[in-house]
Amino acid sequence: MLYLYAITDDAAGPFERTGLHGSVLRTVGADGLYAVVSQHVDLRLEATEDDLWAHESVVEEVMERAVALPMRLGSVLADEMEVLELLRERREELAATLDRVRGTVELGVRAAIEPLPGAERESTPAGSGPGTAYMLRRLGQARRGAEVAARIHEPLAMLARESRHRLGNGAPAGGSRRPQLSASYLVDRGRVDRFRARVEELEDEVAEASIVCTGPWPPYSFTSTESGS
Amino acid sequence: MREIPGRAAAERRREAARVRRDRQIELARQRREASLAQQAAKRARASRERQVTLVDLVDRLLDGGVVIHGDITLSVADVDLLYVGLRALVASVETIKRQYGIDVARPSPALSASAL
Repeated sequence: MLYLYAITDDAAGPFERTGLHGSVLRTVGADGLYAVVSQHVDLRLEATEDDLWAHESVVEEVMERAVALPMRLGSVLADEMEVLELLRERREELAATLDRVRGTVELGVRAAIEPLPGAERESTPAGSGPGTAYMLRRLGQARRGAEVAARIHEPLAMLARESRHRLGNGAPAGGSRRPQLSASYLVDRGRVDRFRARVEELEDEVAEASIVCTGPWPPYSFTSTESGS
Repeated sequence: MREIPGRAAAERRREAARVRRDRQIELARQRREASLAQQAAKRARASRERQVTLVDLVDRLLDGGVVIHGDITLSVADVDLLYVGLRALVASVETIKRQYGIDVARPSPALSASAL
């Protein structure tokens, strides 16, 4: 079977790195659309940290020389015929997505938003029961979480070509769940430093959140044809 | 005893020099402490970033990227193995979740819905 790492428009090899479990990398494809693959008889992908980084570093090597779409972990096809078929069937979509992410990298931003101390008392009307108080508290936290998240996300989205973000609940901190912003930004390579500098500024400006920026990553969050949020 | 003017002046100069030296030592000590605190904060931050980077990696490799055949594709016998592996990984990442309030590898509806 063939394990797929990335789709690219560059057939150039050879590769400096090896693939999963020391396998040899090669490209399969034609006419400006190729898959970077390695051959395996029996692939036992255990999704350990090592396997994750093995997949990731192959994609990163491809990205060093050409535009690349990363594959999801665990993508395998039976043989070259199937790879060629995939590339033929989805040629239009894959070529368009390659063009869309050309010259960019993905940056990840996570922000844990601290609960507002004392907010619960302020927002609880006198005489209301504990159920009402709880609901109001949840509502207040959610509204505030969304406001703080927007103050982080919006300025960053302005520096990106595309972005995706979601606001979820992080782990409990001191009894209450902290709202958590998870966002991905498709950023021009030449703007990465500026983006990072902006994140650092936001760390000072938005005192209610602790922000971490990761990457640059291959554009994992921007490989579907749908446009982002 | 009669004071010798030269000696008093010399004593005053020595005293002033001592004060200056003490002040410089104190400033150096403060600088060193600030720099140590800064380094500790930097180390804590770097360690936190490494942890978050792993979570981000898991998130992206399992939830992002080009999808073929609608799901992670391995031969049938291997599927369980893969998922057992993932659970083990996610379990270790649980620690990060607790410590840093990071939500681990939760599929994003927006992305899943649009995946082929």
